[in-house]
Amino acid sequence: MKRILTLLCTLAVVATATAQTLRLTTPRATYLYEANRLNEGTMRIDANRHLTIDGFTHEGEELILSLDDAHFDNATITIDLSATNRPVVTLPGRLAGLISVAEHADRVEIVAAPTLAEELTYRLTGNSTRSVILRGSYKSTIVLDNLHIDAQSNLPALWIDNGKRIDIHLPEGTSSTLADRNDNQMRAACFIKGHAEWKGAGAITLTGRARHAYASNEYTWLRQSFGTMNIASAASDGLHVRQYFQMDGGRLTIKGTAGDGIDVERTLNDDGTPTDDDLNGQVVINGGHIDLDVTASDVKGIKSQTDFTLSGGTIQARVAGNGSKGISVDGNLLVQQKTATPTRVIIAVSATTYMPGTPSEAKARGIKVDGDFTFDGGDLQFNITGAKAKAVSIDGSYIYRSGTTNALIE
Amino acid sequence: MQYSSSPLSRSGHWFLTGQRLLAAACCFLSLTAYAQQVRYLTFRHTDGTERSIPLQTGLRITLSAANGCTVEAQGQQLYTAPLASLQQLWFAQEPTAIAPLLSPDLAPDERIDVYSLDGRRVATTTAAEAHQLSLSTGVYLLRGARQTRKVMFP
Repeated sequence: MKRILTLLCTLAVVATATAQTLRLTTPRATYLYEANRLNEGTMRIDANRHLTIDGFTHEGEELILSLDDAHFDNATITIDLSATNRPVVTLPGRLAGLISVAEHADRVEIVAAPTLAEELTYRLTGNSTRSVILRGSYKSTIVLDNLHIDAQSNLPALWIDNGKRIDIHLPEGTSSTLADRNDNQMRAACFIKGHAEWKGAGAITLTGRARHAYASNEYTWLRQSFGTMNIASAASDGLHVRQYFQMDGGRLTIKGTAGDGIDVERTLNDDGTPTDDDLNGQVVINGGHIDLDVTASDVKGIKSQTDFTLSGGTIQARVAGNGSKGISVDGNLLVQQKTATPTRVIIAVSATTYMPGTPSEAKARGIKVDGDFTFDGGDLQFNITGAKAKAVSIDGSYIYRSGTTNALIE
Repeated sequence: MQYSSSPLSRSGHWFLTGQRLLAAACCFLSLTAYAQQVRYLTFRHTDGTERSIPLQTGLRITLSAANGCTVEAQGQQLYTAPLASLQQLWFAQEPTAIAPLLSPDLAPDERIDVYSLDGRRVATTTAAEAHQLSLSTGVYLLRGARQTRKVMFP
């Protein structure tokens, strides 16, 4: 009896799984439809090679329809940049009227209509020199699945022109690379207009040849599940983030930057005053591991325009650029032990003063705090070898509650 | 049917009942999924006729300015038609075959006589107007100068 049941259930599952998909290939994109929904009255044809399906008219010199048993997700758009002899974009046919696709020699641009009111997933894969631009006004998920773009345009390799919450998922076992050209007119090789939340145990390597390697106009949050982000090099900052930068897990390695490793600036109103956005200008580290090579002169490994809170995780920095700082806090610094991950700071400063005796003079520091520094847990270790360099410099007050350090902080 | 009062037997009965329900659910799922499979692609032409093509592996339909509509599978051309002659296409589980009532090479004004099965002439029309015949349900013979067709009016 059990065998029969198993057989029946297997048959049921197999039968259910063999959905028939109509694949309509147009010069612009490939559209997927469930064949069993395309019954009488749903597809109309006319002499001008117009094929209207469910009210949307497809046109082109040649339209090709084929049928297969592949299953497709009704809310996922696939961009396979390695596709040859076919469009790189494949999307569910029901989205034909809501998603426009344009392929150019140097970029692929996908625009979601303002009327789109559901979260879609964009899965990007393949190798290309073409930039990808995703425009929209509704939150969305971006999956980077072994995507490799070395952009040969004056645009970012990946530009997400969407001010809403953007989930960026790096599937476990995948590795992606994004690099721009040195005439990129936008802010970064990977530029996100909205609130970026990075997830997934995969890896990504970013190279910013024009300015920053990575930039977001709102917060960037590396979630606990996050894997690895490598900044290979940047003509300016490794990460340039507005509103706040938060890290709960994963590994972030930054080297070869001519500017700061991570630079967080406040969001501003039109009149130039700071907005009341949450955590505006702050850095919040709750876990993970940050590894910084600060080799340029007069820059910062991590810079917050307001407060900096380190509650767990490791920050390791090697400061070799004269006048540079491992951590620079314009507001107050709080180091504490509040998460399961040990709080550790390990900074080596081998640099000395930058342009001494001039108006541009800058001193090398492990940590520089403009406001108050509260030390309430964790371990701070410094190795200061540069002439006139110092482990910690505080303009405000130093409040010690707990924690260990090998430095004299005053 | 008698049930044992033993808790073990009773639970055994419920187990069997549960199995039957599960089996029935699985069968239902199978049939539902099977029922959703489409097997034919049907074209409707501008003259109202239809042509159904069985779906098969590698079926490919091309709409192009140069060749109109072509349907191919595994190197064989299964169907071709000028785009201007097409109106709709759809997928279905069953084929339809609405063929021209009479050969398209008949002269439009050719006289067609309509007979009932008992041999009475019940109508007279022309080839051009044959599709407008209004007859009560039944089987009729349509007779032209060169051909005769048996037609069922539903």
